[in-house]
Amino acid sequence: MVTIKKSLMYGTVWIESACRNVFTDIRLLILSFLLMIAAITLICVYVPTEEQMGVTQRIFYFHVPLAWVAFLAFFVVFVLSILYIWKRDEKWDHWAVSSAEIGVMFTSLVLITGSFWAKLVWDVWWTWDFRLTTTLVLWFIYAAYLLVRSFTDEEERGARFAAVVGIVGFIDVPVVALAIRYGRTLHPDAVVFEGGLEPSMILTLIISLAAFTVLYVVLLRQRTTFKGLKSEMLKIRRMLED
Amino acid sequence: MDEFGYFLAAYIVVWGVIFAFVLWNFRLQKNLKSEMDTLKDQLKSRKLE
Repeated sequence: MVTIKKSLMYGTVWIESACRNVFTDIRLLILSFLLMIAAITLICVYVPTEEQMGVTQRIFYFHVPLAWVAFLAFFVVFVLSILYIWKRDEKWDHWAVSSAEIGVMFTSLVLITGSFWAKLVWDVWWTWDFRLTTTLVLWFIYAAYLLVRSFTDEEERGARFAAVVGIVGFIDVPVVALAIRYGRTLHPDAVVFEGGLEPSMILTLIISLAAFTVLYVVLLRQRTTFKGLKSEMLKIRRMLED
Repeated sequence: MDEFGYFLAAYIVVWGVIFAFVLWNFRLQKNLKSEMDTLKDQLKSRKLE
């Protein structure tokens, strides 16, 4: 009973800290919302229409930020998986899983928005091009990261397996990023860093990138807080059952 | 479907998926809150025993 009390006290402290996080999250959520409104306005009203691709090119302003934030999410998984393997503290696993969930969602959106763009520009929904294929492989790797822990009954063992996938799987991120330079691909070149965009296009892209990055941070904090609380609750419940 | 149609469809998918994810997360949090309340009641009743 003393252990349960201690655990509950710890759980209560956790809940209080989680509640404080929620207030920070509300501020971040408002910031994300305002940035999204700004990005949407810029995409629809301010940015000029590209000559060759027309209106469809505007997909670029959320296709690219989604891809960058997905890479960021997988980098976070990579770093936190190393930390988890090293320290064996479950909080790192909670942060890593949450980041992987958002990364997989964003990668799915990258593949879907890319398909819409491809249909109009290449007249196909999908082609086994190097960039597209490596991105699909990336999606499978992190989907496996999320699924692998369910293959074992031991929670800690599953988290360890997943951390290994999270570390090894990150190899595919630079492969995707460099695919347009070194692979045979139909995908457009990296115009962003090669001065191929007008200042208004760059501004819109930056605002959109900021909006999706803040959204990622909000979602990551929400999911991690949820996982932390859930884990605390399970521990207390198990103690009560014993 | 014309150019604008593809753009609009991509837009709807992006916001639809993000909205669904946020909604799913809120629902999970709500369920967790009610689970937490039940657990608190359980602990209180144990304490009384």
